[in-house]
Amino acid sequence: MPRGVVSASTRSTPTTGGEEHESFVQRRFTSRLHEPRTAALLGTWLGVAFGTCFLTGVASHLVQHPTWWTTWPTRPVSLYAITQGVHVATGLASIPLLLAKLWTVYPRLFAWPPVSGVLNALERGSLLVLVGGSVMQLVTGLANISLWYPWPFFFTTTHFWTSWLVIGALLVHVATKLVVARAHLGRGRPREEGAGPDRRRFLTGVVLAAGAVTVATVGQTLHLLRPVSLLAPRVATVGPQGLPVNKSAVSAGVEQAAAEPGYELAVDGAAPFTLTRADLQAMEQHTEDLPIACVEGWNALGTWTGVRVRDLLERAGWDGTSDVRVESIQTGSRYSSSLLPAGHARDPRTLLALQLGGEELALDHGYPCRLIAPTLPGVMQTKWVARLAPVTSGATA
Amino acid sequence: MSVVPWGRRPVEEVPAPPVVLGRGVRTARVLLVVVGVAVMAFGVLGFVLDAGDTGPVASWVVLAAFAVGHDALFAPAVLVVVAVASRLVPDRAVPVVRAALLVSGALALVALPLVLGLGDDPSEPSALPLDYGRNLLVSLAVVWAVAALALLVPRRGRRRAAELEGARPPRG
Repeated sequence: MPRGVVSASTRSTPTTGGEEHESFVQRRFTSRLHEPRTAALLGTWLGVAFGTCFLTGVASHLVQHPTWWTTWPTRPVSLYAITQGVHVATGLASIPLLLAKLWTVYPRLFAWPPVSGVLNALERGSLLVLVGGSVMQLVTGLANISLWYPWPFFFTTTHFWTSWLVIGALLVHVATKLVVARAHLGRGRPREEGAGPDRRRFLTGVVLAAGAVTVATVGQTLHLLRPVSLLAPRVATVGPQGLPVNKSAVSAGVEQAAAEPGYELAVDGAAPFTLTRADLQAMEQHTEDLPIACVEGWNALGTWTGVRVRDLLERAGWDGTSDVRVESIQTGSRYSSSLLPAGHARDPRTLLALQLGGEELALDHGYPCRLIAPTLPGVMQTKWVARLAPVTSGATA
Repeated sequence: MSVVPWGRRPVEEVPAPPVVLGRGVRTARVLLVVVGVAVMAFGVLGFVLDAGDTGPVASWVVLAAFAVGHDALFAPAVLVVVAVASRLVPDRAVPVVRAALLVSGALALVALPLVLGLGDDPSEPSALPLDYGRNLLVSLAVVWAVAALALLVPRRGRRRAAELEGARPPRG
């Protein structure tokens, strides 16, 4: 931490450690936009974007890994479509913002001497985490929505924990740049000679790039923009029965088992029972318009018809307060079962769907029946359901 | 000669008076560092506790590789491309060409895994359903058409301004 006085000169902004000189390499960067005001403006925008990604990402994590101190509301039904749509769109728009920010401060990479003290070494170390982590989050996130996984780690878990590294390093970075950023963002900032028009042009270009990326992809979330979203990874109306599929029956290895005529649904509880598909069809049917909203940011509205989950559970003696494990015919995948929170299980709009859009549910959409509940991410809307098992109170997974 | 894409002349060094840090700023800074380090420590703990998923060491090697990859490969490549493009066009067109390159580059990066079909799975035809190669070309065509328009339109405006300038009687 520097002592009481620091220089707020426009070019050189050492914040920790001893003397720093412009290196030979740094002097080669003659653009006047490698300066604190451009960096501070881009940094502020990026901070808002990363903060938004972090909060929506943590929310998505807590929906999928509930704790005793968190609940996820059941209304509005498209809540997850909104939070996750914002998460993905903000991440995509951050790509040009981050690259512009890194370009602006790039000459500082060549500061001489490379390390000028213990605090300076720690600051540069945190910058390695910040830069590497930020690029990693955006690249792996982009790869994930493109369904591409060339990494030695499991994406979801690693993306989550890396976000804590990045946000932590970002807070440390804000601390080290607080003074210089304030000096160059506030009203009393030093007057620069003529950098304004260049900066305005550059920042306009950055905003246009972020806007173009958003328009090109956001149609998978905001269907109104679908016609201009030429690079959307998903289209809400493309797929079997007019709805996209993330995991097909073939790829889940259930195309035989799910089509088995002897299929039975097991419902656990004080009075457990099993039902054939004909039994399910004979029960009172309900129709609900609910979205499938995926972690990859897309959503698609379906008209689902089937049996209320709470009707099934109550018949087996469910107390109405315990969460319910929903198990699939699919085995050996971390998504072959999901935990349906008690609040969602009680909700009258939560169904075991037998039909989509008035037709028999397609195999790829989860035939013989699938879970469909408001506000839950697609990975928790378990397909090819074989068993509903209330879990003993307080247990979460 | 500069190899830097934006702006031309180096900025004048503007001496500024030293800033005396108030107590509030110092407190905020200490707090940010303490919370930031704690948040990072929580992240490291998470990596270790979920080691089966994250493979902490491999993940951190990948993280460092992204930093090095950006600084050693991506950034210099962008500098070279923009510098070369800036020399190939008339000075007047440079700002618009740079903006168009920025937008094109962002679109191409986002489209890259889709265009290359890296995540395609034949059993899931509704995932990644569009012709992304063609769509990227269409997007880039739109960007450069707008750039061409932007180059043509203000020139007329500027010429008119120049004519007005000429029509004005000399002062003094």
